[in-house]
Amino acid sequence: MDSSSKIYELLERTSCQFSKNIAVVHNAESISYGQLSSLSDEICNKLKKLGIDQGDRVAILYPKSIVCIASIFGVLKSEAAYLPIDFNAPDERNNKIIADGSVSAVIIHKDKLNLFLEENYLLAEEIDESTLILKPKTINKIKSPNDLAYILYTSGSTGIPKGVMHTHASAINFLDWCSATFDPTEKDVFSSHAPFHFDLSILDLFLSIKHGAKLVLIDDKVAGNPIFLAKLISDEKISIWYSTPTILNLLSFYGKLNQYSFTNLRLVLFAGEIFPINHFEKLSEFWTKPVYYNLYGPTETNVCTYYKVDSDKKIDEIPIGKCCSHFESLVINVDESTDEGELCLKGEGLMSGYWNNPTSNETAFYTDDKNQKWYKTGDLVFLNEDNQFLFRGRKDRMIKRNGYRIELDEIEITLNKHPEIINNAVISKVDEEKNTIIICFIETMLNNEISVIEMKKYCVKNLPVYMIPTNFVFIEKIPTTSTNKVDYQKLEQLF
Amino acid sequence: MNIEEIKNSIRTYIQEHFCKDMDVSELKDDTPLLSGGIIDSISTMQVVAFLEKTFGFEFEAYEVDRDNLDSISIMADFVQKKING
Repeated sequence: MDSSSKIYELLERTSCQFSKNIAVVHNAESISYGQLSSLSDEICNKLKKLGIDQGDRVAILYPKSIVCIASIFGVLKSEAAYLPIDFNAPDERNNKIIADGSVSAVIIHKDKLNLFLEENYLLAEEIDESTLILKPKTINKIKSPNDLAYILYTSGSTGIPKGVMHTHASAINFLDWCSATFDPTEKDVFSSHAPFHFDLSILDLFLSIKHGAKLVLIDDKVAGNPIFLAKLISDEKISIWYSTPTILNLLSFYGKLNQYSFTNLRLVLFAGEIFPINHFEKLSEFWTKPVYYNLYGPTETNVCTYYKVDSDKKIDEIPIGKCCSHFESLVINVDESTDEGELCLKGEGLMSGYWNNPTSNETAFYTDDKNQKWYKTGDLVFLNEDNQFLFRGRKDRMIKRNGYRIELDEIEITLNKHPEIINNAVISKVDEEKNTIIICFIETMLNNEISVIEMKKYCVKNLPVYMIPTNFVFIEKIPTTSTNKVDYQKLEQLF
Repeated sequence: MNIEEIKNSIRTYIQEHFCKDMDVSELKDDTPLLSGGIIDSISTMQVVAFLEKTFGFEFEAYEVDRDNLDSISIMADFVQKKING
């Protein structure tokens, strides 16, 4: 299909072919392919001057913007891997990720400097007046695999986020599958709704660049504002939209879609969580023209199964579908009574492993009798009569909320650091409107009840927004089982 | 409608929908709602829909913003400006 072996080569090729075409639009600003390539070269040269090379990692702590995209390509062109950090997450969590990544540089917006960074990093270069490059005071010598392209951090059950490593090869294979399936061209206009630390962004960012299309950046600030999004999709003539079902749902309920025309919209892709069929139907009544795809896959695989929704076919739920061409699937530990088992995958799109995490690298895989390694998703699936997988739930305590994956244990570990909390236990439920809610049961010091408002404030400081519990319930004692473990079943009955 | 009536109406709605697990006295007029983690992006849209329906005006796309919605007082001021044109 194409001979690229590195994802930055996609930009090099399209910047020659479509030099004058608009590559990225961000509010009133835009940049052509030629200019984007030059800007990323400048950033690459600055990084190289600092000694950044193959095997290094560079963190990017920057709001979504044209400079941020040029930085991503600058890092990749320097042969290092980029490590995107959630600009809106609490500093403490971000600092842990930067430290865990043993990065050789941080590209940062000046507003995000904090004490930890000032103590451990030096200002090494400036890209512009608000964009700085920091380098660690202690030289990092840990090398990553040569082909590493990016590391995305996801919630970890130990309380520390886990870094999922992807190579250029896995990204290229994924993008080739996308090209064959969605047939994008330079005339397409892609949305960039997901933040860059979220794996949905890989499709937006690199598939649009690969085909010389236009990418429209959506700021975090308006990403949850459906009135704004509906207008933007219409005004910017977006043709390929990709987001979580939560956002599509907000659009159909609150976006005032009847006020706009969406004649250019040809593809609507969704991923990250279940799209309840009645919500999907509400949206597809408004948007009758586009073709809809459900894309499934954990960060470890990016998209690995897909389902094209056939509007003429009556279905009760949207399947996660069948394997993409760059993956193979295997279902293990099938329960004979339900025919449900755990979905495992192997293929060219799979991560190369977790960064700096031998335990997870050991436990994440299943080895079959031919000694082949399969990634265990932890997702339970059922194969229906059309040979499509249906999602049936999780094996563990990981949940999805607004597309983000959340280890409930990470919330518990974080909240247990509150000085007034003796113990806490977190469960999740789906409410009447099919939203995932998180309920936190708290056992506090005697006569020392903390207010809900105070708890929420504590969460805002210590957890990303999507992890903040919806409800707090103060109880005298967290119930335990006979083996002294938290009795989560009992807690479910209490709410 | 005066500002106190607007505030009361908003307060009742917020209490009934998003603060069921809270002591009523905890919710003050200046309690930060979005930045304080009490209202998330989905709840924000429910509030917007409530304000539009109750007070009979429409939000412009850019007005759905923390600057206009972060507390009962801020919302009430915004509503008053909108209905007074």
